Amino acid sequence: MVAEYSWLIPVFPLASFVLILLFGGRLREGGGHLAVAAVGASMLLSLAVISHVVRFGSYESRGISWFGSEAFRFGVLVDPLSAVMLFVVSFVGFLIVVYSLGYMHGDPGVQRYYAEISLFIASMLSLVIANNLVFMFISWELVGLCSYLLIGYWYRKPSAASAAKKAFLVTRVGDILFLAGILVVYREFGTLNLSEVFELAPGVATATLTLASLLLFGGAVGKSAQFPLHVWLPDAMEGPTTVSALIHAATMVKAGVYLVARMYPLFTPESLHVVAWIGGITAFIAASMAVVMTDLKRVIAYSTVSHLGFMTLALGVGGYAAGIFHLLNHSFFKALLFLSAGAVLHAVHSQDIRDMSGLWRRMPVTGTAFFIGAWSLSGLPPWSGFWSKDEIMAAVHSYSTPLFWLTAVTALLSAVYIWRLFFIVFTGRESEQAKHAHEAPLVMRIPLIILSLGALFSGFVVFAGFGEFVQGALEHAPEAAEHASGSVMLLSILLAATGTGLAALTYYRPVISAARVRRALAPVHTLLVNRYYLDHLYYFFATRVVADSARALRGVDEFIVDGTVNGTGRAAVCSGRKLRLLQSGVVQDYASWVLAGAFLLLVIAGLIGGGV
Amino acid sequence: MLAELLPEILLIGAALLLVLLQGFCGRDACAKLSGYISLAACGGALLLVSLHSGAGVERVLIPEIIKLDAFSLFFKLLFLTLSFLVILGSLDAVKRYRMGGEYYTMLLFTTFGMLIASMAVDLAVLYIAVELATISTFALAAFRKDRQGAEAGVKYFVIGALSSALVLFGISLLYGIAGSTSLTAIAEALGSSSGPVASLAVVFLIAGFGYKIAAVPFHMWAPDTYQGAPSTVTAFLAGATKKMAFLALMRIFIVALPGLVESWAMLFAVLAVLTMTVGNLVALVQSNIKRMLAYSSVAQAGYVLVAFAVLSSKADLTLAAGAALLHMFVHAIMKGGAFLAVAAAGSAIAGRDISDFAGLGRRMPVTAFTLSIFLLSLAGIPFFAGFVSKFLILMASVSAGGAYIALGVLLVINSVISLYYYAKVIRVMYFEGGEVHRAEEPVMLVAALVVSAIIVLYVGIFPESAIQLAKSSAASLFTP
Repeated sequence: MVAEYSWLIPVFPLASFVLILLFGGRLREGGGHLAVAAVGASMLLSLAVISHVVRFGSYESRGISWFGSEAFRFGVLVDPLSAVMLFVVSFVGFLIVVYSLGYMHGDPGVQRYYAEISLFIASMLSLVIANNLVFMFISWELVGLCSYLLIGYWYRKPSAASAAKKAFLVTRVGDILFLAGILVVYREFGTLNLSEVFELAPGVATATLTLASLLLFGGAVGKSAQFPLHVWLPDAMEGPTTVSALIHAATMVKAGVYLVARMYPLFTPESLHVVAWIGGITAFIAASMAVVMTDLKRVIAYSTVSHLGFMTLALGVGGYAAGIFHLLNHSFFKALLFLSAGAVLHAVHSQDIRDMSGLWRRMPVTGTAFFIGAWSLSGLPPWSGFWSKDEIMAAVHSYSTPLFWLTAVTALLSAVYIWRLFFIVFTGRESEQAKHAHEAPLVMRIPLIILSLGALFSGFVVFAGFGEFVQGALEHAPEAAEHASGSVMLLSILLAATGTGLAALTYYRPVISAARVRRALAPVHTLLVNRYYLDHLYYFFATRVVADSARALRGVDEFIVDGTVNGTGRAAVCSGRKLRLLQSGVVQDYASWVLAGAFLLLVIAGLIGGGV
Repeated sequence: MLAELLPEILLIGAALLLVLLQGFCGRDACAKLSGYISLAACGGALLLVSLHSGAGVERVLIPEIIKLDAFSLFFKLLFLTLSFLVILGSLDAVKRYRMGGEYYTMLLFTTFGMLIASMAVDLAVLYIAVELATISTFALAAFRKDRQGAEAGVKYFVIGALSSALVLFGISLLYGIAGSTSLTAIAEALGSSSGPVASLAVVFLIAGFGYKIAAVPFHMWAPDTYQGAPSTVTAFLAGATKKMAFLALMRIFIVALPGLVESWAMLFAVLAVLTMTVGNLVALVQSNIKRMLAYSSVAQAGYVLVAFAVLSSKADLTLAAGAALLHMFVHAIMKGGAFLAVAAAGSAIAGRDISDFAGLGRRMPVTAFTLSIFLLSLAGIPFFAGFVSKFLILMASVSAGGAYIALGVLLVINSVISLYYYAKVIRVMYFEGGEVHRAEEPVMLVAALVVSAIIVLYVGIFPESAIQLAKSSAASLFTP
């Protein structure tokens, strides 16, 4: 039975991590081929396991216990939800690693790159198949560590180093909430095994469940860059583009959404309400910011935040299958967009879209790939983004009217920003930089083509019973949201078309002047360009409030804490030196010490025994 | 009875065979052949013992004198595992030091003595067995025929003789009270009375064995000897012979002197505090890696003593004793492994200063990597065996409550301090320059290193069975 070997899935890339770390320096491309082979093996095994799950249903192993404690019994759980995630992580991850062979070629640190990316994929895969919250948390933290290392891959670049730090610190806030959630679960349920927790969940007080689920959601907010912790993701563009693609499409940010989906049985209507609104707000503000950004990767980054908002929103309003469905589709079109953006950056050596124009002629394959990605993302029929967005909107429609209109506006903005990007970069007169652009090498183009196919057709799995399959992950599935009613679907198409039209009229055939719109809406534009001043607020908080109180505390710290710490260290080394002097090397002295020690013991024994 | 003693018979037979062999072949060929014979004997004995250890049945072989129980099987496993690893590693080292076949003879005699000691339930037999093992190690410690080697041997011998006298004095006092050297008879005779003579005996026994476990202030010989002896021998001394003294202490104090537990546990507590703290502090400033490891050994013995001190509490005694046993076993492997790694590095590096190890990560990747595993385990990092056993000791001291918690806290503080000097070596090996060309790694030593590293990792990641084994072995001490 192939599912019994599913524990091997993360082992391949983990082994590749160790091997590359040890011997990568002696392999060609820093061990890149080894990483490709390992992730490829994981992908093949994942596909086998997925087909098992499709045919025979979920599989759970008893696992092995660590420290003889049942709380630390680590095993494997593969159900429809993990199956979808396995597919996304291993398949998209594989394509990205292949693409890296071309993209990272000649970089002096490739060994480190491939080692870290193997570990990244390994930890994400183990997060997906873990059947225990502690196991999940360990993988979760490893994912965070790897993202930190990879975002700061070019660590000599100060912006990369600080972006890595920002990502680490901000997601850390979520991690702490996650850990607190695990503690609450353990206290309440007495177990951390997922199936056992789900079984016990109906019998636990609603207030406790709400608390636990909100804390767990806090972890997701950090990892999946939800409002108000979304600020790290756009900065996380400082790493290699492949890393951005991996973070955005396959691994890191999907972990949060996965966590919510995984722990779904713990979510009460109250906490789902919070989830839905956070998702809706995130989707909207990120989309609005994406409209005004001028950095190619940043626009896509804000679009990721926005679409993660969609997924969270879908889960919040009870559209479980819709959320997972969107996660699947998003992985394809977002990986596609990022990798084609990477090819563009590779060619133009700039990230500012104002430097790019009319790239279509020089880069037709990349342009087509981007076009497909944009089409799918904008939600125009008939490609994948349309189907999942449609399901989400239907689910939101039956949940809350204000939230529905917020979603509708966001859907419109989605179409606007992505087509704006496409028109500016690929159409129009050829810019100076574009003249020297050239198509990416073959090893980079093939993943683009495969991802294009995915972005085009992954939406059609919905007709193959995807929804029912994913609902199977839940014991007590919520009412599957009714399929899109005609009017919602019509509205959704209309919105996407309007957005596309607006973008085309502004940037393709400039009927509307972007500059004049900007002037007319100056305050809004300023607000958006400054990212709602949220980053400023955090910066202010970090530098002023935290740093000032830190400075105030420093006095105390220097005297008392440092004094103690340094004192301990100094005293330790110092007394070490002193004690060493006792070691004279003369054997007579040693003998005297033995006798002195015996005498000392005698005195102590006398004190205890009361008479010698 | 012969069946149970088969491992011992195998060892002594092999040792005698080696003595005979000396007359029949040339020195180098003889050394080589002796190596393989003793490796086979040791491996066979190990196999026999591990087959036994599953049974868990207690067998009195000679009433009141020799008894085979889970406790002795645990130590046999420890001794034979380490002897096996050391002999395996020595196959390379013997060539380098131009040592003859007598080296292996000594190792086998020592191991034989230790195996007998593990079964002895009579003070006189125990003493003789311990001496048999110790005397051979005097010769082993002085195997390097230079000034340092001689110094190592002489210091070890002089202090050893003094300590043997102390032990013998303690034994004679107990005999004077009980009129017997049998441990159970002594326990009956003493009851719970704690007269001054008994206290005196306790003090002499602790002082005498304190030398062998290198507890502060009886530890002074250890750094000199560990530094001066060949590294393979040091691995054996630190890994195995030291544990024999722990074994003797546990057997004597738990079986024969349970009535005096208040006083001896207090003495162990004092020694534990001194040993941990002094060992770690002095280790901080060492520049020679063997001396550093020697002081770390001292500190680690202090951790075991913490578990001994906890034996006077009302808490779960098998937990405390089991924790002590597990830490001994784990320490034997990781410290033995560390010294073997030093021996392996010696094939390419002349000096033994920590700074000489710069760039070893690239010169000898397997040696450096396994050494890092041992050092991390010694520091008590999770997922390494050292973490598991130290954690058990901590658990035992915390569950005992009261002042015992203070011992636990001190143990944690000491662990934190120790991380500094362990990590320093790793940093030097991987992050500091030095020559970059590869050096050949001695095959047999590397094999021994890899086996040890696997044990360390296995116990660290899947500790249940090891914990279970240690606990059940400890339990057999408390059932008369």
